[in-house]
Amino acid sequence: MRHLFPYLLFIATALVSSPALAQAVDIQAYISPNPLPVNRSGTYTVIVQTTSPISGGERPEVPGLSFANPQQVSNATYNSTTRSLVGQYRLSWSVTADAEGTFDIPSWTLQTAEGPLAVPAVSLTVGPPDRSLAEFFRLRLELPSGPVYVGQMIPARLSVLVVSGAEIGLRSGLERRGEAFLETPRSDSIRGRESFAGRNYDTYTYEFFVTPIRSGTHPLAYHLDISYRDPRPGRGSAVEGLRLETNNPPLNVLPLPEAGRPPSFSDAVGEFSMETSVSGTDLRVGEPLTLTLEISGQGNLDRLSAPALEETNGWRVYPPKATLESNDPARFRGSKRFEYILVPENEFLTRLPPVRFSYFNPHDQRYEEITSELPEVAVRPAAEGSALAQAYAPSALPALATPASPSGRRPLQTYASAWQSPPRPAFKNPAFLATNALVATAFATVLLWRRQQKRLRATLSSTTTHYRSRSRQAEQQALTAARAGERPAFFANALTALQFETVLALDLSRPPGSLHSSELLAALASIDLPPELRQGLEDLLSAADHARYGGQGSGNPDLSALATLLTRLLRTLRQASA
Amino acid sequence: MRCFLLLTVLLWPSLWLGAAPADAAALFEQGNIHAAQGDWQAARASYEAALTAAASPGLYYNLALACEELADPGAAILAYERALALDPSHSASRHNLHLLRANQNLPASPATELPAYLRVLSPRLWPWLAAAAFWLSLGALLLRRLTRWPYLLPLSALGILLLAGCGLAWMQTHRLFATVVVTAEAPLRVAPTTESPAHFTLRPGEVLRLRQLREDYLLVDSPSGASGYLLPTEAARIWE
Repeated sequence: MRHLFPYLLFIATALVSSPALAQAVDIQAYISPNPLPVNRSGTYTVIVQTTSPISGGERPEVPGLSFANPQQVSNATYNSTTRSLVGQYRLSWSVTADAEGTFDIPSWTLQTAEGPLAVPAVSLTVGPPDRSLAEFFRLRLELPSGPVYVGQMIPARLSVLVVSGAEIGLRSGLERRGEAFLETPRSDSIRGRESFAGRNYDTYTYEFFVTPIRSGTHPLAYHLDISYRDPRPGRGSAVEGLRLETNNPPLNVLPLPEAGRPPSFSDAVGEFSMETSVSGTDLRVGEPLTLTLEISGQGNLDRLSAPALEETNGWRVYPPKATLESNDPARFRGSKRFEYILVPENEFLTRLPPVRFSYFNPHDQRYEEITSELPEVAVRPAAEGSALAQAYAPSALPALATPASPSGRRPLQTYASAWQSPPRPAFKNPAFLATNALVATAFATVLLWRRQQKRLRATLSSTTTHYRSRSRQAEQQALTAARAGERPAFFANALTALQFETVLALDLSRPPGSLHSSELLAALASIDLPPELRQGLEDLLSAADHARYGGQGSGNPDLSALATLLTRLLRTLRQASA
Repeated sequence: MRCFLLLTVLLWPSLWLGAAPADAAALFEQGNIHAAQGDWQAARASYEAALTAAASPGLYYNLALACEELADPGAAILAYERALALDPSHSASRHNLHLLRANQNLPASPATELPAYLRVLSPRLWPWLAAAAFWLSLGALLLRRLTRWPYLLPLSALGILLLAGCGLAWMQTHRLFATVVVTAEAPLRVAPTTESPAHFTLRPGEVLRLRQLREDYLLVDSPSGASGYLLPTEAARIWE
């Protein structure tokens, strides 16, 4: 019984005091933990017990403190004594301080149906940062090295590193400090693993592009408020708050250089190429033509503006239609197409307005300019009597009809084009005359040479015929003389026949009659004669010499055998000459 | 024979093209500087001096602009016509000539009415091409006697066609580049004397057909069909 006494006393007190409690309002406010390290987040909590619901209230902002992750939890109990509902409202915020010091959250007011309720003031002491958790939780920003220019899209990676096995929750979204930059998301969060300083981490990486919009040195920092359970052994399982921050130095953003900036530059930064195409090159006055420029590459494609057409005199140009094609969520890589509609206003146009596109290449740190390569066009007059012909008649064209309009005139040319002689008819041009004379001379030379060759061949042919005839004639006479037994006539004609055939066979340039027996033998040595024939030839020539120089008494050779030998010899020589 | 042909091939471009004379280029640049400073008189003098050494479409074009600035439309039209005679595709000359003739209430220049296919080549190049076609066809015919290559006859026929085409093109373009009135007032005289009455007075920039060239007078046909005499100082031929 003695053990039950304190409980009985508490119940009795509670029963006595409950009607009074039911009508009273209790309101508390506190920050936990307090003091708070500068990089940790605490919880600002307001607990209200009231029978009437909270209808509003505005928490004051405190310079140096940031509040996030607001939460409201309420529950109610039925008081049977007072026959009323008693509610408990718990309002909480994650609170983080930017710097060390003491911060006061002043008293503020909550609105209820029964009237305003005053939330008591709270003081927060913020101490130096707690570095002991840096090896477990990190926020890392990776940026490429090298100079950074205004307007350049810089690829960036922001990673949350959480030591493997630790649990975290997000108390607030990722926040950036740095007003001089724009952010363009590139991908969803990528989860991975990484080993770093002897520990394994789970990583959550967010890829995006950062675009500086102002030159100068500007901070670029991110922070993220998380809740965690301390992964160190023996630290309990309480959930605590922590602010993760990047610690990159401020970025030095360079302005785009003035030097070398082309007049056609319109803030394109990156690396690009340009292709042009036209819908047709043969058109009539008033007929529209589509000129398409496709700028491809990587850079601030989204912010590319249409290049201006130059020298548009004589063309009616309509504002271009732009289309961006990119599979990249950040629209960093891809192509942008500009379609210009041009209408020729007269038939003297031969060239399309040139297009120049220039951009700043941050890697090479210089401006590049691309000039369009457009085909020539042929513009014919509009069909006679058509509406186009009336609309584009010279009198209807302001540029052509306005007298002394200097703006309509094409400007001075800075290049002289191809140097040449003044316009002069070709037949007065010495170069033309000389060239043709030279070619004519060449042709005449060829013709003359051909004619001479022909004449030579004709002469040669007639000589051959003559020699062959003479040889046959001498052979016949020799054979006749042999049959008649006339030795001198036989040998004289046989020698003549051999001389002519030898000249023909060996294509000699000497007169046949000037060849002596020894010369005949020497010349015929080059012809492949059978041995008996060669011997017979020697015998025949020797007998001829004897008959010629020895007179009637010099031997008595067998003329019929020599005649047969002569016939064989001549036949062989004719075969050789053929 | 081979050396002869090689010599011809080597000489051809050197005879035709010629190097850009340094003094002409320098005078052209000097003229541009004067023009940029607004001294059109000096610019015109520089351009005309450059023309004594060599010519180019750009040079004639700039000279025409200088003449326009100096209110000498006849000389300007002549220079534009000469630029087009060298390069019929020179669009800036074509454009400005069209404007100037419209401002002077002159009919369109025959040079600006050239069909596109005749603007492909300078009129001075047509005879060259015609000559090349002639020699090609002749050469092909001669070669037929030396070799039995089957394409010689078609080649020769092609050369003859080309010759005919170039000849026609040359005739059509050449007759367009005639004579231009260069003085402010040019009376078209009935007889070749200064005391002769005039049919009418020609305006600067009018294009005339030259019928006869004498030492002291030019016999020309006006666009209206009237024939008459002009002093050599009153008109200049586009083709010198």
